[in-house]
Amino acid sequence: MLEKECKIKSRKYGKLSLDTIFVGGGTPSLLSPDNLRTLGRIIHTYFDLTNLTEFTFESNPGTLDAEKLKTMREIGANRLSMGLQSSSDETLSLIGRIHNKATFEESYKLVREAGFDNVSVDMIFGFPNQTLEDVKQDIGYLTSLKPEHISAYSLMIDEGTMLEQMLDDGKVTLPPEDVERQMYYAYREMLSNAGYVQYEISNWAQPGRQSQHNARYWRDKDYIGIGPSAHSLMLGERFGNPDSLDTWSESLANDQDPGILQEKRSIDDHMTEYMFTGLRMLEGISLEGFQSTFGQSIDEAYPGIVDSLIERGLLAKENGYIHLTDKGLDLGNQVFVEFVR
Amino acid sequence: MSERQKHIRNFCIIAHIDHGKSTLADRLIEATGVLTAREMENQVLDNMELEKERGITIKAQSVRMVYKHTDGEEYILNLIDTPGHVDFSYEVSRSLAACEGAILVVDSAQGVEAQTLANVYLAIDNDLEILPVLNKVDLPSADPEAARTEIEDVIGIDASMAPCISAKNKINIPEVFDRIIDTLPAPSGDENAPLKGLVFDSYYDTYKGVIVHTSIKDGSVKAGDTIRFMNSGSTYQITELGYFKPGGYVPTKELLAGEVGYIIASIKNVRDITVGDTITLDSNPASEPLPGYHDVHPMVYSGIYPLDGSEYDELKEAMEKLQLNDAAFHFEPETSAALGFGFRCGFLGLLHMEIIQERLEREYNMDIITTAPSVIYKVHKTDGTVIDLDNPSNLPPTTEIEFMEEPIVSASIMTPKEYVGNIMQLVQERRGVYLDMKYLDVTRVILEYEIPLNEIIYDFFDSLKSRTKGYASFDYDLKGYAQSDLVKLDFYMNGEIVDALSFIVFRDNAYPRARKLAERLKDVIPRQQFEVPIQAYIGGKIIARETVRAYRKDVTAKCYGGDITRKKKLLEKQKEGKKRMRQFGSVEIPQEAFMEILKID
Repeated sequence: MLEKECKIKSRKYGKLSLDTIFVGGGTPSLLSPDNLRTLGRIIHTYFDLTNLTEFTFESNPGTLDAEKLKTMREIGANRLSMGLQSSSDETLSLIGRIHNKATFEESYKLVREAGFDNVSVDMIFGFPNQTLEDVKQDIGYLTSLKPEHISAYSLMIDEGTMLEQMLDDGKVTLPPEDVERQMYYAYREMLSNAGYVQYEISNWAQPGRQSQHNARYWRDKDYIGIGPSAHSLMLGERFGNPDSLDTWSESLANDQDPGILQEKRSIDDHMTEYMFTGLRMLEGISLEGFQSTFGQSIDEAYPGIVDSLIERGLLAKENGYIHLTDKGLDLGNQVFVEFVR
Repeated sequence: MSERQKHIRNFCIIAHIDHGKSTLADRLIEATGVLTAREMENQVLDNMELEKERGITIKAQSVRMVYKHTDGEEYILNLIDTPGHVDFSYEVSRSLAACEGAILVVDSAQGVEAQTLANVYLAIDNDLEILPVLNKVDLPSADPEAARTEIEDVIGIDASMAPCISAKNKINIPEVFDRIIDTLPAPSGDENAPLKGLVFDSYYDTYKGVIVHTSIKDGSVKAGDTIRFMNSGSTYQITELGYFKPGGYVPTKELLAGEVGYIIASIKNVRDITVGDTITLDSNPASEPLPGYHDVHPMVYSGIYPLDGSEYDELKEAMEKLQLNDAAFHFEPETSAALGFGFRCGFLGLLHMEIIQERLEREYNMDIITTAPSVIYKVHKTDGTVIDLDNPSNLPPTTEIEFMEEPIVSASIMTPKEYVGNIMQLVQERRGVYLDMKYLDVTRVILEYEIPLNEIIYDFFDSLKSRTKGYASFDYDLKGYAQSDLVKLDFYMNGEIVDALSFIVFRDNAYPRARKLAERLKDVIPRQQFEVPIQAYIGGKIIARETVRAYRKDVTAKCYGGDITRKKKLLEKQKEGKKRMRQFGSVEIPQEAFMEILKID
């Protein structure tokens, strides 16, 4: 089916040249070596990979073994993203993760042994009952592990999850907002002290190890998504594949592109997205870049907005860029909403 | 009386909400074939969206029907619709003065209600003949004989001949027609006397200008005539006149004494037409105008401001148009330190205020902020002068005030007897003074009170409904003014006064109300970048205080390819929400905050 979608997409767009690949969404590390080899063959058949610099597999600890890792390397993967979320077994079991710290450690070791020299670890903070000390321990653990890249997300409670139910029932409580922010500040401070550079609201990397793939989303570059629920931005059009595996396969069985056009971006849409994704990057948005993309300056497109946000202490302007301030990192949505057109 | 006038009946329908007035009107219209079945929409007369939704009549509408009586003759029946709520007794009086008779519709399961009573008395005062009709006789709970006895006992009119009908299920409708023709008087104007036409309503039409609704009491008028409005003195040449049909107009050559119709005369200036004025011919004027309507003064005042200050002119235009169709609505420009330029508006009551507000929002697409409603207080100053205060912000400093008076109303509340305790408690909370209680029959009583008007302009009606499961009905009349210990309550946000939230309150109620309101404000004002203290003051003294905590965090942690569209939609929604807020210094206050003032209970 994946192959079918690649075939249909390549009929539409031709053989696309890829800079980065990210195999994610769920747990692709569950794939068997044979599956992985098929996946590799599809990718190599339908896409031009001469400019490929970053090829990441997402994985969950406990689902990896040496053979799978070796196969990933063989089909060209050079980066591995691992979901740890927390270094506390208690927290991990509370959120229903199947792994614990020990299984993670084991997997991490295998990954390194397989030759992956670019590893990213995903963390979450602000879990129910979590303390600032717990988070500092998480961070201490990370800095001893020294992955090349770290993503740390403030916990989002998704609707319909067990966690939401437990919170509603009062079985668990979230840390107060100011404690949650202190957790974030701890990440910022401790990772910086350990030599990491924060380059996005929730992302840190050792120098030169920023994710090229993620930056495409924030830098307004085209991307193509294959598989159920995958999204694409191609030539100013956003597509979303159906979430349901059945609906997705049905389209393909009928030789149709499963992508549903979500929007044909207008200039206003484009500008809105350009601003709120670009400002997620700590570097911010280049005034010149905006001018050359839209043929007008930010101040012309958004009269008075930048100045008022600077006044509110949420935005800073320096060296030809505007970027979020420390306070702006906490209140990003307040900034982004001002750039909605 | 001319032979022609003998074949005309001008009448209105009086009923309590839900007793079936609009349904009966529909049946009459349907039976006379004014509309084809296809054109017949339910409840033809209530043609404002808002009226249909609330099931009440706000704007009087009229329709002309032709009915062939059992005597073989054709009769012209002019039905003039009347509003049904206590706030609109003025509109009722206008409609009544245009008629000779009134149909009183009583729900035979529920009997006479307080509001009906008030309107019936108004009709009797206007010398109208009353024709009682017992509706909904086919309901299992109907007791037409009890309702008949009640009409006779409570209102004191003969109901022995009252038709028993079901407007909904078309039972006995012809009997209503027969009774209209047989018992309601025909008009008896002098066709040859100088013209006297009563202006009982007016509408604004974008193409034709002002359309005047009139009941011709004496004389005649035709297209081309120059008419004079006797009170305003302005003159116009008639371009078109005619009769009403549901939702429209039928032009004719002339209107004669006893007829009801409309006049169009290229009237552009809405202020030239006052309802209650008398139309006469410029060339042969009547010696004196018709006895006027009661001059109606607004009972409740509040400020209305555009949410976006740049929409002041649009708001003004919308209000001018509304005023044309609603003579009871008053407005004049005012300025608020917090809200900028807006209008001080006068209303008949709180429902009237809500309706104007909703019409501005729905029909004119305005985003508005309404300030705390106020009644007119009489402020006796130490220098001996008295001011009528309709805006709490204009209250002079306490050192200049000798004493204040507030308006008091006589209220009658009709209720099944099991709710008497609840009502007594409610009225006591609202400083009501008990006067009397009468049994209407074994199950129902009527309670008489005196209550300060400022206690009922807020949520009294809602509270009454909720404490009596909707069974109590309520009516009031302004009785006079009484001295009272009143104070002004001010609210400060982030250290700045928001004058639009100021209101005047009885001193003993000030503390609990200030505390409650501060709490409510805390809940409706969204968290902002900074901590926002809310303080309630009397004079220089803080009596309540709450704090809207600053938000520490408002950021989405994850935003990758698949999240962008969803995230953008969320931001767009957030932006829409911001539009519904008004910026006060550094604080954003949503529209709802101003509505919280209205809720006491």
